[in-house]
Amino acid sequence: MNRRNFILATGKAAIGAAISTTPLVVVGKNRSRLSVLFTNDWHSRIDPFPMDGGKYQGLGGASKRAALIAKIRNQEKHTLLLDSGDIFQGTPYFNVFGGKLEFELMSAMKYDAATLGNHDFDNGIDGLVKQLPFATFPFINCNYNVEDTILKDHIIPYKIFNKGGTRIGVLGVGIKLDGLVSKKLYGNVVYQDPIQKANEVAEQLKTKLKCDLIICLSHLGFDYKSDKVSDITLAKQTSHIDLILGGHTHTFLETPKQVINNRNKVVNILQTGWAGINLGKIDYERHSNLEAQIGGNSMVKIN
Amino acid sequence: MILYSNHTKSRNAVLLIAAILLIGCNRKAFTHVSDARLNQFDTSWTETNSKIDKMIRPFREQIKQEMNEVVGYSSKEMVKARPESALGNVLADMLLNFGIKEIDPEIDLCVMNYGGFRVPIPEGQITRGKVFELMPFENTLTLVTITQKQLAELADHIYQKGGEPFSSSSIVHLITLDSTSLFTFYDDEMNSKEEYRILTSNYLADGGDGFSVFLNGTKREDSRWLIRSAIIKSLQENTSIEKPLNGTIDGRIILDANE
Repeated sequence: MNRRNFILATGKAAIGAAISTTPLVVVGKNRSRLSVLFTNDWHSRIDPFPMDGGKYQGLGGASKRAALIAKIRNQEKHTLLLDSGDIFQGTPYFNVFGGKLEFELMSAMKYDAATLGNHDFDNGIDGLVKQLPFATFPFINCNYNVEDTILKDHIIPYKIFNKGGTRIGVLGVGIKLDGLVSKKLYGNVVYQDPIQKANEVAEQLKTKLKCDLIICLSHLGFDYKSDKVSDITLAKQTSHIDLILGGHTHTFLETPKQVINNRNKVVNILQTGWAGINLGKIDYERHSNLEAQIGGNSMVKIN
Repeated sequence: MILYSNHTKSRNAVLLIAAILLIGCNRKAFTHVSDARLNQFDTSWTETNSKIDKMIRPFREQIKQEMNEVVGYSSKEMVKARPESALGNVLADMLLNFGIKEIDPEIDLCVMNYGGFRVPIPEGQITRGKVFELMPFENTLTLVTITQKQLAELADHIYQKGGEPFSSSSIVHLITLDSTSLFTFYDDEMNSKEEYRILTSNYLADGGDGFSVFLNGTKREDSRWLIRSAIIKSLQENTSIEKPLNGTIDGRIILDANE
């Protein structure tokens, strides 16, 4: 495919107008390629939205998402499938089964990791721990201190994935629970500064653990008018995070929001909206000794 | 640093220079890579997965059954209407009592919106599914504190709308006289408070349905309670065949009192 066709094909999925003027790299054989697939805030939307004339009627649905993921995996050698929290709450499936089916379906789709959202505490810590045996993937968070709770040993601060020789460090951060979730439900989970914690973990992933790419799963929310900590503020103050996959604010981002970090490097922020309406996909290419580069991105509507 | 390509050496050299220029900038080099696969799905996807369908099916069947569970009883069919209705009154009263018990004992007034209650409550059994139809939204109970002046604005807005469901633990009337609308409470102390704590939905607290007065409130406290869950819990705890829900039109809204 030549450049012109590529640009045509890329269309709205191109990462901003400025980028479209950069030269293309022709793909050869000596490369590793990674497709990062992601969701957030799917809120127990097991079935597509009902056909009731609503704004999202017919959209979403775990079955369609699973088929799409399988198709992509069939074409991409290396994939990561990640979720940024608020898996729970929103349909009778959660009210009746407490999140069991959500976790079972995510396990069947072979999610690699997820972080915790505020609604994942809606049945209390007990309610969450009770469903964890149905999840074959880890929950990653570095700013909730869970030492004094039964979540201890169930939450990890980061995980490193090795995909075709590329080391990908995945960490997670969560929103302040006070005011969002009843204290009765989150118990002794202690919220700590997500920026400080994320930076500590990212530093470790980058320097000590030699990760090539660092992804932060965030349930902080995309952006706020107030000075509340968000993905934007996190991105600005980070040194080593390459990509923030966000949640909480149900923000539909077609293309990555690019923010300059404290080392004058670009951090990309993405979020898929909510309810499994979209599957996010961002591809990285790594050529020999070069840094991993973004190969493209798309938001696929689950129609 | 070598970039492989199927093309000529000179092309490679150009690409190499391009790549060096890119890497040379003090930011991560973003390069779109020519690849048809990237955009194959970028519009939409409609296929389903039979394995996942099979996993969901028994849960879906059980949900159907759960939705048929009887959670409460009603003495009669209650339909919404303006300025007030048995449906609006009974639900505002129910949510007020729920809020006082579960959220904050110091609630002065509960205000909901006519548009938020989607279907009538039937006579006899009320199923869980019926409550989902009545309140399909994921709206939550929210407390907004407003000033006395804003309470008058709120009363005027409800008047302009032709009536919205509300309730208070003190007997309350919304009276409109000479185009001025006011809430008047039976308990006189309630009439002279500086601030009022209003239980409403997060939707109205966000200024939905023209309730912009809530955006200027002095304080907002969101609760974790879905309005739907509050209704179901209230029905389960407070109604039975012997003691069914029984809303009435009690004249709490008196529009154009001088006519």
